Amino acid sequence: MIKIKLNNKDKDIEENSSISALIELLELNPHSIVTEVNLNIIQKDKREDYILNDGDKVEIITFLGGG
Amino acid sequence: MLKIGDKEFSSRLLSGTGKFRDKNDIKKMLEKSGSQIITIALRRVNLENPQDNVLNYIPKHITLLPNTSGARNADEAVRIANIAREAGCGDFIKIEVIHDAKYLMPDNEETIKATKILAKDGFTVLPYIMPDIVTCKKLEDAGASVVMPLGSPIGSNAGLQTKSILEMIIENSNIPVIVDAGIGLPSQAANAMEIGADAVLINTAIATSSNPALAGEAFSLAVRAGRIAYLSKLQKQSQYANASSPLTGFLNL
Amino acid sequence: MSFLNVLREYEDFDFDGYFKNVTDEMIISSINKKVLNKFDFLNLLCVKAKNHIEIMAQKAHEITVANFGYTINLYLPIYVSNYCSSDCLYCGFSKKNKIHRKKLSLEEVEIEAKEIAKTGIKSILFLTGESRKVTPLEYLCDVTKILKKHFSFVAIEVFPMSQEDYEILFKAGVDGLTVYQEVYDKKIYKSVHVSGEKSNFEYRLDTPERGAKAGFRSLNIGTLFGLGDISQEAFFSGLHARYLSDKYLECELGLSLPRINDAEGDFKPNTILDDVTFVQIMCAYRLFLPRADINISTREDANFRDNLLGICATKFSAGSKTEVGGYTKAKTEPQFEISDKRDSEEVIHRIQNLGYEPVYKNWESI
Repeated sequence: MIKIKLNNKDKDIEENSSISALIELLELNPHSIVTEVNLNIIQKDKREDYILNDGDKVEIITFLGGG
Repeated sequence: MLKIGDKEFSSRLLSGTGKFRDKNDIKKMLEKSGSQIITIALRRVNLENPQDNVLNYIPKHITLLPNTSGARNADEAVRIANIAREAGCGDFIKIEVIHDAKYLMPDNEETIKATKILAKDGFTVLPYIMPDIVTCKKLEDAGASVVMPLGSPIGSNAGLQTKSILEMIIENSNIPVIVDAGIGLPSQAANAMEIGADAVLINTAIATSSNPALAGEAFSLAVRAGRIAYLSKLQKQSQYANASSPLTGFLNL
Repeated sequence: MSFLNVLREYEDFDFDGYFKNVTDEMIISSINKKVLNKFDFLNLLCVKAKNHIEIMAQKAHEITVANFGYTINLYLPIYVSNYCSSDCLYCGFSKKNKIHRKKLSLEEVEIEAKEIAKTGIKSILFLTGESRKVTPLEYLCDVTKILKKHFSFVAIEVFPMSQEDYEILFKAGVDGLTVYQEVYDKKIYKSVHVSGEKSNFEYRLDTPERGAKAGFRSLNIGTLFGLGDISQEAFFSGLHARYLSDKYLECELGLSLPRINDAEGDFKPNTILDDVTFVQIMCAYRLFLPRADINISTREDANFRDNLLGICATKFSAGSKTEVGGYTKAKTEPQFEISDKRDSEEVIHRIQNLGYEPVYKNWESI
C-alpha cells in the first residue's frame, strides 16, 4: 500500500495504481472530472498510464453551480 | 450583437448556475430567458457524497463561462482556468479573485495579473472587478475581452450602487462592459442597460426566486427594453432653460 | 493607433449636410446630456446653436464650478528666443520676417525668471521659435533647470520633438507641453506652413501623444482660429483632446482658443472667429470635456476675459509679455499683440473682485 493526498485528505491505495484505477475505485464518472497530480493536469487519455507514487497530491475536480 | 472574443451573442443577459434549489430549473431558465452564456464553478469532488455535475443540466448550445471562484490570488486563478480548459469548457474564463471573505470584494490587482497571463495564453478573459477606471484601462491593455464591474456587493440585490462610476467606465471603455453582481430586480437591469452597459450578469436574483424560469424571462425583457432605450437615445428633461442672470449678456446678441 | 486614424474617419464627412439636419430640439437635448458624444459636440458647434448660447453658458458655468470651484489658474509666458527655421504665413516669428532676432543667454533667462517670479505666479510656459539649431535640446534643458529654481510648474511651447527628447526634458523638470496643431485641415496646413520642419502635418499631430508617453502630466492643445473652417477646426480640436484624455488618463488636458490678430507681417486670416462664436465654441468644449482646462491668453481684451471667467475659463495668463526679454528690457517684436494690457496685479485684483480665487501655484512635483 502507498499513501497519497486525495483532495487534501490522506488515502491509502494499492501500489502501482493508475489514475484510472483510482477513479474506478471512487466510483466517479471519468467524463465529468478533471484530474491533477502535484498541480499538473493529467489529460484524460493519459490517466490509464499514469501510475501514482507514494506522497502524490491528487486533486479530482468537477463543475458545480456558481455565479 | 454582443461580441465577446470571437463569438457573437444576440442575448445580452448572462446567467449563472449558483444557488438553484433544483438544478432542473437551470434548463428551464435558459429556455425562458434566452440567455446564451452561463457561468459555472469548479470544485474538488466531494468524495463522500459526489454531487451531480452541473454540466448535465446545461444544453450544448449554451456557451460555458467557467469562473475562477475560490481563487485568492492570480496564480490560483490561472490554475483554475487551465483546469477548466482541460475539462473541455472552451476558452472563456471569468476571472474572480477574492480574498476578502467578509465582503467578497474582488482583488483588482491580482485580477489584472491573471488577465495578463491568461490573455497571452489564448483565453477569452472576462474579469470581474471592483468598478475602477484605472483598473479597466489596465485590463484593456492586458488583453481582457470585456470588463465586468460590480453593480453592488455580490448577492446584495441592491442594484446599481456604483452607477456614477459605471457611467464613467462605459464612457471610457473600448471593450464591452458587463455589469455583474448586485442586480436584484429587472428594473435595475434595465437601468444598467439604459446607461449603456453592453450586458448584465444575473445569478442570485434569478436562482433564488420562487420561479427561476419566469424571473429569467422578466430579466430578459428588462435587458432588451434597457438596451433599446439606450439605442433610442431617450432625452432627459431640460435643466438649463431658464437663466435668471444671463452669462452672455456682454455679447450684445 | 494615432489621432490621425480618427481624423481620417472624417475625410469624406459632409459637415454642411450634417449641420443642415440639426434641429433646435437636437441641440437642446445635446446640451442637457450628462455625457456628450461627438455628435452632441458637433450639434453645439452648428450655427443654430447660437440661439441657445445662454443655456450653453449656464451649463458650462455649472459644470466648471462643479469640477474646478471658483478658481482660476495663473501662468505667465517667457519667450526665450524668436529664431525660427519655419516659414508660416501667419506668424510674426516666421523666418521670412525681417525682425530683430534674439535668444536669451542663460544669465538673461535667470534675470527674466526672477522678475517674473516677483508676481508670485509659480507656473510658467516657456516659448521659443521653432529652431532646433539655435535652441537645441541641451539649451532647453538648461533653461528648464533655471526656471525650475523659480517656478513649480514649467511647461514648454517649442518645436515638436521625439518621445526620447521629451523624456530628457521631462527628467530636466518639464511638467507640461503646449503644442497647437494650428489647423486640422491638411490642405490648409500645407498651404500656410510653407517650409521648414513645421510643414510635416502628421508629425505635429502626434506631438502631444509623444509628450504624454514621455510622462508630461499636462497637455495643452488647440487650433489657431483664422486658418481653417471655424466649426470643423473646433470639432477636431475637441476630438483631439478627447482622444488624448481617453487614452492618457494620467494627463490633464487643456484647450486654448487662439485667434489670429494682426501680428507682424500682413497675413489675411481665411476665416474670422467673432466673439459670439468664440463663446459658443468655448462652451461646447466645456460641455464635451467637463474636466479640461480652458486657457484664455492675453490675446483677448480685459473685458472679454473677465466675462469668460464667469462662464468656464480655468486658466489665465496675467501681465504677459510676448517679446523675448520682455519682462526686463524688451527690444524685439512681439509674437502677437497683447490685448489685455493690465499688469498681473491688476488682473489678480479683478479676479478676486469677481469672486474667484486666483491660483498662483497649482502643482509641485516632489
